[in-house]
Amino acid sequence: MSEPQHADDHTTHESHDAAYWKVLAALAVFTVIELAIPSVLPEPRWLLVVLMMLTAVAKAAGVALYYMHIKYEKPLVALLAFSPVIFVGIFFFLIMADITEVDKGGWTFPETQVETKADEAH
Amino acid sequence: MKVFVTGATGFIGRYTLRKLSEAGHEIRALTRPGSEDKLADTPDVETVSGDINDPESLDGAMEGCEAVVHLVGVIQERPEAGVTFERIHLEGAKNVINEAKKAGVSRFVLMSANGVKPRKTAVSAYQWTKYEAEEYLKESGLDYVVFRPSVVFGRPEAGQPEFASQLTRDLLGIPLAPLPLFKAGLPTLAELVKSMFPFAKKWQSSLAAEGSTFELQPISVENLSDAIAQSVDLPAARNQTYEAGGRDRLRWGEMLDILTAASGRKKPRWKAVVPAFMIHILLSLPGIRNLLPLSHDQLDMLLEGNVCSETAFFRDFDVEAIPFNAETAAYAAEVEAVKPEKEAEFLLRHYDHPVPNTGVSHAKFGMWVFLATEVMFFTGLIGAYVVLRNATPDWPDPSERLSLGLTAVMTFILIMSSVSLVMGLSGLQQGRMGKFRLYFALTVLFGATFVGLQVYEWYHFLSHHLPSEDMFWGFFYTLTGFHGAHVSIGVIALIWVFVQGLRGVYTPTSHNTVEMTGLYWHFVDLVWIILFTIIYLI
Repeated sequence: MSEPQHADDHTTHESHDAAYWKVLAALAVFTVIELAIPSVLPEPRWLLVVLMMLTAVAKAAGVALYYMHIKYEKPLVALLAFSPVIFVGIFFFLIMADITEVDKGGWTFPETQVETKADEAH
Repeated sequence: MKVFVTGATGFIGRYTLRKLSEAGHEIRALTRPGSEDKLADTPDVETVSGDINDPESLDGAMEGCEAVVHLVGVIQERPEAGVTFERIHLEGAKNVINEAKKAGVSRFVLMSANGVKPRKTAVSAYQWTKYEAEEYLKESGLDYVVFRPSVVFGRPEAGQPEFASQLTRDLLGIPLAPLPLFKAGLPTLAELVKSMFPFAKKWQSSLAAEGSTFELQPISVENLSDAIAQSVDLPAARNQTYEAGGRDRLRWGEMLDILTAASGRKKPRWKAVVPAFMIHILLSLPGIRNLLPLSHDQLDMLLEGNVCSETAFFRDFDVEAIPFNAETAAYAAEVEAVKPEKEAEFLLRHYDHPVPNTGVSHAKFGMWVFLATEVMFFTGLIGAYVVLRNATPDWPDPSERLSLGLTAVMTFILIMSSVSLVMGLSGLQQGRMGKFRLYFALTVLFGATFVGLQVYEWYHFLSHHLPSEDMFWGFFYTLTGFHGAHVSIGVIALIWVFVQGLRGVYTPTSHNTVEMTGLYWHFVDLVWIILFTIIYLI
């Protein structure tokens, strides 16, 4: 498939091909781990959620750093890529405040309506 | 008569050489060292090498000549190359005038410009440098003729700047975009409304007439060069300053309509009022300057208008006025044909290649900003999911409702598509087109398979569970639906890029589209990694 006249380019051109395959292997391993966590460690629930999210973020970071080339790019690209993460942080900080408020019973949601609809479906 | 000509290789210079030669004059042309062969196609013209900014190089160049025609001028400064209005228009002219005095020529013809004025009132150095050159000539004691032309039109040679072909290329060359009617102050409400309706014929034609109030008076290069050739020995022209413009005064909007018609279009293009200050702001932004076809100076001079009193010009010289209309300007669209490689170079410079002040190409910068907005889009959805899931008692265990096995396969396929995409790109960068084609075909296949499996999954679930059934299904369809839409767009983009790749559009050094599509595709993969965990596993 490769054209012979370009065969030596492979060695001269800076190639990340090996890294790409390693990242693929890591992504596959992490996915298997994710699938296994719930049966290996079902309790406590908070620990499960934290572990799962950490694994997912690690996978996402692998894709961003290697496949999206952030690792090989100018720092400006990393800055652009990271900028929304700051807002995501602020967003989820406020969401957490909202959630804890629900736990105290400060907010109510039309739960009955949701249940009724579910009952009707059965 | 033997005539010495400077600026002979320029737009007006080329025409002037021909007219002088037709009138039976002998010509000696000054050429910059290294540009001698530019006049190789005019064997009857004697060339002498020299630089107007190097007085020693002019020494003796005009010996035996009875008249000098000084045409050298620039329309844009390039200080980094030593090209400034002051250096070229003023210092250069002084050197040539001094040498002409030494050589004892009987007449000096100077190319000035309409609208030149003293330094105090000039809006651009272009104007006062030409003005001071005129003053220097008038005080030199030489017999003189000064021409102050408005904009000059006529078929240029490749690489020569000429206003009608430049406008056609820079303004009309952008498809669909409105043609700008520059305005000095703020537009009125009526003008803004009219600008927004490209198909309202009456509104558009009234805009063309009144949107931009400044007028131009284009003169044909044939007429101008004819007059220059006559002026070297015409007694009536002695010590005269001629404002040279065509017979018609044209509003900017009418001019754009003429150029549109000249390019072969039957209907006028969409025109919109653009306040000049907005262009000035754009021009002040780093990086934008090089993207726009005009400079601060040129915009200011344009807004001043460019009309004159042409009566004396047509009275003293025996020329028949050539009007500026769709036929006489038809060359403007044809000249464009010499541009493509320059255009490509322009695009490459600003699109494909890293910009010096950021080190990142515009396309990549833009793509990352877009992806940042996409992150916020999915964050909004996921945030809503977290809040409502937390508030919903007895959220079902996803593994009881969804098929984990199928989704695990889908996840793996999407990850595989990412790795095949980077391998394809790497093949392209290495010039290994076979590798590029193989991996890109795989990427398209993986992407399409993912979409296919998701359609199958939805089809299966929708027959039992509607989104309205409960919060779980509502979120399942919303989150996977928006993601699926992204994947579908991505697959279409990948197919497009693949086909372009097969056609040989991309090369190891120019393949920005491939890279940008790749960034989008990896992002879609990245979102799936998060969604998979949140929806299916937790």
